[in-house]
Amino acid sequence: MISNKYLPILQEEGKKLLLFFVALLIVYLIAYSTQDIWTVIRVVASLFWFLVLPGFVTISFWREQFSFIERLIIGIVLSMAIAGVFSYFLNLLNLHVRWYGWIIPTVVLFVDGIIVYFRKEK
Amino acid sequence: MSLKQSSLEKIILLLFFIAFLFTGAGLLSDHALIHSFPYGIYAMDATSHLSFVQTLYQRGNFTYLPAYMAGGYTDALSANPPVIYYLTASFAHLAGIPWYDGVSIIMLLAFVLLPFVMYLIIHRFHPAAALFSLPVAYLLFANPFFSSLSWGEYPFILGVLFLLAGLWFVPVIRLSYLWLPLALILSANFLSHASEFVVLIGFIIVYILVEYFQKEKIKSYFKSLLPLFIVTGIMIAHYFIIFKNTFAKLQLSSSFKPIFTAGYLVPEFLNNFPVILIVIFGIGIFLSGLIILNSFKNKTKNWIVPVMALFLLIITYTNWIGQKRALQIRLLWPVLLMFFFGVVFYYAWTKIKSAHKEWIPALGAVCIGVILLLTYYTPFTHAGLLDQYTWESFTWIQENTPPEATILFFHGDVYNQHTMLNLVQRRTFRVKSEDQVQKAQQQILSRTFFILPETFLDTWLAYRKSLFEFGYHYSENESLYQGREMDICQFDYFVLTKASQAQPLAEYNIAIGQHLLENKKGELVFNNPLIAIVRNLHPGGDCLDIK
Repeated sequence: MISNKYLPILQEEGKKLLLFFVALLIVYLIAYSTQDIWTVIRVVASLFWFLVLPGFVTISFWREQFSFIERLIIGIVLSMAIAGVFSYFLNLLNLHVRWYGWIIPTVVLFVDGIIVYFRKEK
Repeated sequence: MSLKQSSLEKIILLLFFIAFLFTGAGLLSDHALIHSFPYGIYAMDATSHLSFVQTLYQRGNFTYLPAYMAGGYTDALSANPPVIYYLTASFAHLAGIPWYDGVSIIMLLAFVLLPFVMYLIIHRFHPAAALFSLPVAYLLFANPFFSSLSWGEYPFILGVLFLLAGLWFVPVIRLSYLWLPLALILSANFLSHASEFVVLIGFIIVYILVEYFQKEKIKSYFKSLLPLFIVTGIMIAHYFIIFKNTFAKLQLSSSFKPIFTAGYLVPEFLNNFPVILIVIFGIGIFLSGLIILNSFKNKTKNWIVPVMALFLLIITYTNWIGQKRALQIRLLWPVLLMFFFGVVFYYAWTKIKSAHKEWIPALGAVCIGVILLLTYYTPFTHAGLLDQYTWESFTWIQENTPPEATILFFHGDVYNQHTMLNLVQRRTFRVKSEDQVQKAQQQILSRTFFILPETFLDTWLAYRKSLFEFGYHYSENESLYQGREMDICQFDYFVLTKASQAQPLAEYNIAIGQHLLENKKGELVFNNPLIAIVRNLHPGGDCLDIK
């Protein structure tokens, strides 16, 4: 269980991320206005899962030092870096590229969760 | 910054994000996420990267070049900086979209992110300077700068994105464990485009040196730098060995002679910016110098952002000492010069005495943005090099010919961007246009043409003999990969374009096709309004009945 200390932070960050997801969806609906809405939702959800969450959650270990906007923008670039570097190693393991988009964010979020858990234990 | 200002800043950032993405999506993909063929591709650098993404997407692995790209070899290493391929292919699988649209979506996002990362860097100098600087990045969507994206300089764009993110990390590197995300950024930078990795390392050295001369205790930096370099070294080690024995060995020039041309549009300060912007940039550079001197004198940290901006500016002129990548990095000048633009307005803003002063940067950014948008926005839509008919012929070949089939392309208007031929995923060859022009002028139907094999030779078909020892199929038999007079009858399929800007060449193609069919030496296996594909019924035989 996550301690009470982290719940308000998770709620606050969750709300902001949800708001960002909606904003991102609206931006993509505007920019790709000739595309059907379900495809836009699928693409934006994939972007959010693959290229927003891993980096944002990781850089949020320095939440007190950096603003939400900083963590968001740098988090996206960090997600790209994480995906790029770890894909290279998954490729060496001969794993098919179709799984990378699922494996990498899951592993990063899991590892981040473990770090938070052990931090809590301190 | 007050709460109201903070919310306003977010709104301004969102507005600029919409403006950048909307313009980019219009120029590159006609405001659609999914297309029936690779869309918005304008040069062969792009088609070359597309062919690698296609290979990775379909085979699932990219350790070796496919045989059709490697002159038939199956052990030739895929040595290109890999991040672009993995990012786009894995994203396309995840989102369930065509692989070429995955490239377009990810690369546009990376391109649009560039000014926002620079914004964060400038924000450390002053939020007002950051806001004022943002609109000038809209020039990214005007040529020659937009050609970095439309012509397919994808690894370079990712390299600069990671470079800027790395620069953002450097001043705060001493924060506990922050070296770890920076190590990921540095590693991704090397795996994306090594030249920007070198620039980032260069800036870290410059930064530490300036801190040293500022009498900062630089020992504290080494506590972060040591694990940073160890972890980065481990993460890039495997690719470093490949890179060192391919691109670094075969393509790096040690000449220090000035270079002024490259295989892409080279921006020039005086040619590609309007006079007003040149004046503003000039004043900005002058002010940056003053800020640095003042900062050194007063022992403040204000020097960091101007030094970064000047460092990046100087990098774009290292072509004078033989660094051709300097010409490439100029393609992103609208981002790299953002500080010089913003600092001029910031300086003017500091002189204003008004009760509503804090609103001016946001309003100013929007006003300047609107002016630049009205000046540079072009609702330009064009499919690019490929079209529906050409793509249909490519996919027909992929799906209906044996994997070992050889395909000969006669003249087509877009085949001079020849790396696109790899997209058919077979061993491809093309008739040299000049030779076909000559034969069309002489009205000779010929069996022999000067024919160019399409092989990926950037890394000489490097293969591994051991972990550190490499061989090169290309250097072992160079003549095999060079154009030469060849008998067309040895090929399995002929791709004949029926319409061209040079119509006599298209008519020549039709004549070849008709001759094959009339003499029952060929079979029409594919036909659409632009392309016909004829199968050679007797490969190696006398397919044209002429000497």
